[in-house]
Order: sequence, then C-alpha cells, then structure tokens
Amino acid sequence: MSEIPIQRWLNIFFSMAQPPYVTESLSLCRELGKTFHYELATAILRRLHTALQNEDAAFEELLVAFNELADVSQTAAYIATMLDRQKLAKMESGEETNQLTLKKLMDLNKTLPFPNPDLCLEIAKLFSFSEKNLAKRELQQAFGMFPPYSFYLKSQRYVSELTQNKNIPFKRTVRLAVLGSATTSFLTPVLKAAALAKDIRLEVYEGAYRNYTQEILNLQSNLYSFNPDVIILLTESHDFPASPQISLNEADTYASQIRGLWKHLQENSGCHIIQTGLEYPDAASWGSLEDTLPDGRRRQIDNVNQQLSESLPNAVSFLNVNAIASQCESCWTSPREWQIAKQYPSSTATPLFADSLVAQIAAAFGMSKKMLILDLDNTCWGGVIGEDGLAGIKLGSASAAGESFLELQRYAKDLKNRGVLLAVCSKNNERDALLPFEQHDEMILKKEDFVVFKANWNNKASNIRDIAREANLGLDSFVFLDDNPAERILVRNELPEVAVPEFGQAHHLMLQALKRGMYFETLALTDEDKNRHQSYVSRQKLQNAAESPADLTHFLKNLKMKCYHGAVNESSLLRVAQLINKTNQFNLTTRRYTQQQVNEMMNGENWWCHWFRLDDSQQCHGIVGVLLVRKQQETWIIDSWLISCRVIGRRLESLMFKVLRNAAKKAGCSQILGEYIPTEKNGLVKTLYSKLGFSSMQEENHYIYSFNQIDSPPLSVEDLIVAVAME
Amino acid sequence: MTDHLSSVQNVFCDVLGEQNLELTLETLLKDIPHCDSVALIQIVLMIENQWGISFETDEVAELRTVGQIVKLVEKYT
Repeated sequence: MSEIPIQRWLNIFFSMAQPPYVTESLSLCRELGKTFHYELATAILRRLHTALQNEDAAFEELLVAFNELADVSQTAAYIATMLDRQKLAKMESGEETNQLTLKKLMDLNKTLPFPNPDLCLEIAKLFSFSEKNLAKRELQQAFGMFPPYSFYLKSQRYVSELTQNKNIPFKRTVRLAVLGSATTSFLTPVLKAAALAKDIRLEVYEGAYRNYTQEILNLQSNLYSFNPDVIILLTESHDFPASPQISLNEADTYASQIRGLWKHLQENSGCHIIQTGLEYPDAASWGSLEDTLPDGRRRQIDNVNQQLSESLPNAVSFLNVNAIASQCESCWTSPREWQIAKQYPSSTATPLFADSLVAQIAAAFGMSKKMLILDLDNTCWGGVIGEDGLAGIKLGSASAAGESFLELQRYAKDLKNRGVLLAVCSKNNERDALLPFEQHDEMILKKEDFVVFKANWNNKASNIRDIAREANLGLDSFVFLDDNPAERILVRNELPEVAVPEFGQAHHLMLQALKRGMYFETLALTDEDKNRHQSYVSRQKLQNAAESPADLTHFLKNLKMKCYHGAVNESSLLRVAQLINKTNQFNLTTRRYTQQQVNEMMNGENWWCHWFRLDDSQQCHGIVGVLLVRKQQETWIIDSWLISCRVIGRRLESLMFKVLRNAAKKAGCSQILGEYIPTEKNGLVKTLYSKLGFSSMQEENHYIYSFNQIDSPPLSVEDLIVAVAME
Repeated sequence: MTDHLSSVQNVFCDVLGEQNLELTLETLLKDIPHCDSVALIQIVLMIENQWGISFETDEVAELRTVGQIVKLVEKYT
C-alpha cells in the first residue's frame, strides 16, 4: 500500500467519490486502515492549502469533490482531519488572509449537504472579537448536527469562553448546579455545549463528588450562595445498595430520602429540580431473577424510579435514564470509565444525556419549540403525489416504506394532541397536496390537524416566514422536517433560527432525527396544551375578521366571550408559570419566573397575582392572562402583565385592567405604576399604557407609566366580555 | 515515534484548547497548563477513539509523561 503515491490514491478516491461508488470507496478506505485515512486527509489538506493560497481553480474543484464526498456522513471525519488546526494556523498570516479563509470555509460549509461540525468550529474560531455572535451561531449549527463526544472535547474550551463572554447575547442565562453521586466534571462541558445549541448560557456550579446530601442539607454550603435556577440531582445505581437482592424497605428509604432533599431544597431555594432516575447496573449476575424476584435488583431499581417519578411536586422533573439508554447507540455506562474516573454515563453516551437534561431545562423556561412544519412528498408519504397519484404513493401497512411514513404521521399526530402545532410547507399544487388528505384511507394526519397549510411553488424560506406571520410565532419556535437536503440547506442558511433535523439521505432515519432533537420537551400537560390547536384555528378566523373593524366588533360579540378570573393558587400555578415563561408578544416586561418563585409570590403578602381564563362560544381557551402586581404601600407596581398570543386581539386587556383597578381601589391604593421593557418581540404592547390612560414618567429602554385616577370612573369599555370573579 | 508524538500533541491541543503546545516525550503531564485529571481522562478517551484502541485501566492510572502515552499508542497500533 505504501508504494502507491498518495496522489494516485487521491485521484482514485476522487474518481470513485461519486454515487453510486461512494460507499465502495469509503469501505475501501476503511480496509486500507487508519494510516491511509491520515495520509489521505493530509494530502487533501495540502491541496486545499495550495488552492487557498494561490486562489486557483483547484479550490472550486475541491468544493465539488467534497460536495460529492460529503453525501455520506462518514466523510465528516476526513474533512475534520483536513482541518488540522495547526496547519491552518500557519497560513493565517494577517487579518486579510484570515478573512479570506473565513469566507472560503463558510462557502465550503454552505455547499455541504449539512454543516460539518469541525468546519463550524474552525469558522467560529476565525470570527474576530466583534463578531462573536456569529461564532455562536456557527457552533449552534454544529451541535444541531448531534456530533460525537470527541467533538465536544475539541470544542469545550471555546464553548466555555463563548459562554462566559457577557458581550454575546443569549436568549436566556441559567444558573445550574449539578450535584450527584458520580463525577460531574465530564458532564458539565457537554451540558454547556448542549445549552448553547438551544441559546441558553449556562453558569455552572459543580458540587463535590458524592456530597450532595450534605450540600443540600447545609444551608451555609456553596450551593446556596451560588443560588441556582436549576439543580440537576444526578443519582446512579452505585448510590443504591448493590447486591442482587435488595430488601424492599431499602427502595422506600432511598426514594423518600431523595424526596426529602427536594422538599428541603424547595423550602430554601426557588430552583427547579431535575432528578435523574437510577440506571440498570452493568452487573446482572442474577440474570432474569433480577427482574422477577420481588426483591430483585432491577425490579427494585424500577421501584425507586417509580417512587421518584410519581406525583411529582411542582418544579421537579424526572429523567428516566433507562428510556434514554435504550435509544443510545453506544453503551450507557462504561465500567472502565467508572473505575478510572467515576464517570457516568459513558463518555459516548454523555451528549445524549446532556441533550435530554438541557431539553428539560429549556422546557422549564418555556423555550421548547412550538410548531412542527412538515413537508409532504417523501416526508408524510412515499413518492410524489403530483406525479405518482393517489394509488402510487407509499403509505400504509402494505409496504415497509409505507409503514415508516405512517409511523411519522402517528408521531406528528401525538405531538399535536399534546399541544404542538403542525403546519405544512410543501412544493406542490394545492389541489394535488390535498388529495391524500381527502381520499387516502390510511392517512392519520388530517387537513384539520394543521394550523397553516402551504402547498405552493414559493421558496420554502419565504413560506416559513409567512407561516410565522400567520401563526403569530417566532421563527425560533419552529422545527422544519423535509426529506430534501437542498430545502434543508436553504432553510438553514436563510433562517438559522429554525431547527432543521438532519438525517443525510437516509429517509428511514427521519423520525429518529426528529426525536433525537428533543425539540418539544414539556414538563407538564395542561388543559391549555391540549386545546392549543383549536385556539389557533379560531384566532385565524379572528384575524380574517379583523381586516374590517366593523366586522371585528361583530365577530367578537358573536363569540359571546366570558372571562373567569381569580387569585393565582395551587391549581392554577402550573399554567401561570408556563405562561410567564413562554409569552413573548403581549408581555410588558418579559420577566421570567420559575414555578417556585411564582409560588412564593402568590403566598406573599406584598403581591397581587391574578389569572384570567377566557371561554367563548367556540371553545375554552383556558388560562390566557396573568397579572403579577407588587404592592408598595399605596402604590401598586405591575411587575408582569401578559396575555397568551392565542387570544390577542380579543380586547381582554381592557377587562384585565378593570379588574386590577377595582382590586387596587378596594385596597386603598392611590397610584398604579406600569413598566414597559422593549424586546424584539413585544412591540405590540408598546402603547398599551398610554391607551389605558397612564401618563409617561420615563422613556428610553425602560418605560415607566403612572396611573393616578383610581377613583375616576373607568373609560367606557365595550362590553364584549362578560367577567366572572372566582373565589 | 515522532509521528505519533505530533498526533498525540494535536489531541492535547484539541482537548485543552491550546493552539501552540510544544510537547516532547519527556514533558511531564503535570507541567502542561490546564491538564488536570479530568482533562487527562478526556485526552485518553480521545486518543483511544481516534486510533480505535483501548488502554488498560492501570496503564491510564500510571501515566506521568507524554512519552508514556506515545508508547501506549505504539503498543496498541
């Protein structure tokens, strides 16, 4: 092998690097072994450098070659080695070259079927100080590809620098404490990266190894001075008696100890708790007896997990690691890594674990995705409806492929039923696109399941922008699923906020990629979640009516709206906290509070916390409005005021203000203060306080308004909504 | 030997996020900036992953110099 010059191998390789030979050439490479791998990569690197330096046509050639190579995801490894940092650094002799390299690398990355994580990392590093925000975006793309553990290692230092740089805006900063019965130092860098991918800046506190009980019980511990927003309580099976037979009491004792720690934490800190369950241990010397004996080890581990996950208190969530482990491609634990460093889970499983944890953190702060946008041809069914016709498309139990599309539809339908919105974005004639929905017996998804249905020949990026406008949602709440790599590239490049699951050419992995993203994690299911779809549908009717004001009043009257309202209490807490964390548009201050914090407010004497529920002739929208008011002697300060976007335009705000005013009057208050803190999304309510008769006290970035005419008769409000006070 | 040294050095650069580490076979691990026990395990994992090899638990515990790592790579490749 070594007699053949690299150049010749390279030529052979490139000549073969075209479908359908790609796989063959790759397996050839594999056979040739690692040495060849390294040398090939070095040769490619050399050619790339020459091309970059001379700016000659060879670079273009390489782009084409890579494009073809990268059709198969394994080739990422080649590009990775090619981008050997030190060699690249040598050619960075000055700012100008830097910029040139950056541009070329970005072009290269955009030509690939999907962003190459290693390339993203190199690009991110080349961004100068002033452009760190773009660097963050590159890394988000990289982690969105779910790279292997080694990539997290390569990028950890850089991720940590980005996360600590306060000049880079993140959607949210979360102070996270990780306590556990295993070493947490291997997990935290990966958590930071997984959080960065979801635009969360993690500030992490790590507890001492196996010291979690003491730290939680000691109010003077560093844990409490760190004051976390979220605590991960990472327990694993070494923390629990290890013999194959475990007395039944021990499971009870263990679970109740942990539950006791939660209680103690909640009494002393306003944080959200993520509890990880116990994994099945590697040692299973008793075989199936571990499951079948009443005191068998696995059975008792199930018992503990069950006790930890049932009737969870507010602001505690549970992560079932055995469920995650079953989806994990590698082994969940590594005995060797445990022995060497008390590392849990195994390094290769760590990214999946970190993503699962971060999905829960995102959910706790209302940052999960809200809508799944589906392509139709080869995504919801096999084949092209416009060409293959109703009888030609693959859907249903008759074929394996048809079965897989059914499964995807079932998954999407399940999402819809728990509050995720669905939309269609397909290149089709609308007539054709509707055909299966109307006439195919095996369709699980129905036309009515979608709140927006775009079947046309427009560019998908602009269609998605339209969907955002029509559904009144931000692009960052979308996940876009499409079988066509070209469409995915387009959407990623034009709308980087949209999450685009990647699965190469392997269509059968589409659903898996969607699940792997954990985009739609929720920690609780409220009635409002189940009704969300219906709310959006009626809101669209409202929008259509709103085009003529006369029609609007008429429309609203016909809705026979009824608003129930009352003080926030145990039973409304969950939904109120959810709204506080999710609402972006009708939200005057966009202050986020955890469930625990709201709990403290509603029980505090200095707060007036009120919820508002809206029902109409069509449906019950559930709790859609929240007012949190801080009482300072005779002044009431509106700390938070928000209305869910599903009922914007119903004039609920006038009624809410009326209720607030009456309460204030009754309490002898003489002044109400309102604040408006502008964000990218809340322009809608910029003039709310002026409209309600407040006078402006301070402007610029943080607007403050005052209302002193508590006693004067209220402005006449059209009685579109009947108000009912609840005890 | 030298070839493996430069590859091993690259892994150190990657994991530690240092662009310009100059390591020799004699370099003591404890003298390398930021190379704490966690980083060392990460480096070992990365090396194992890159070469598709696996060291003995004791061998990892006894690592003191860069040269020892290079020797292990040679032993298993």
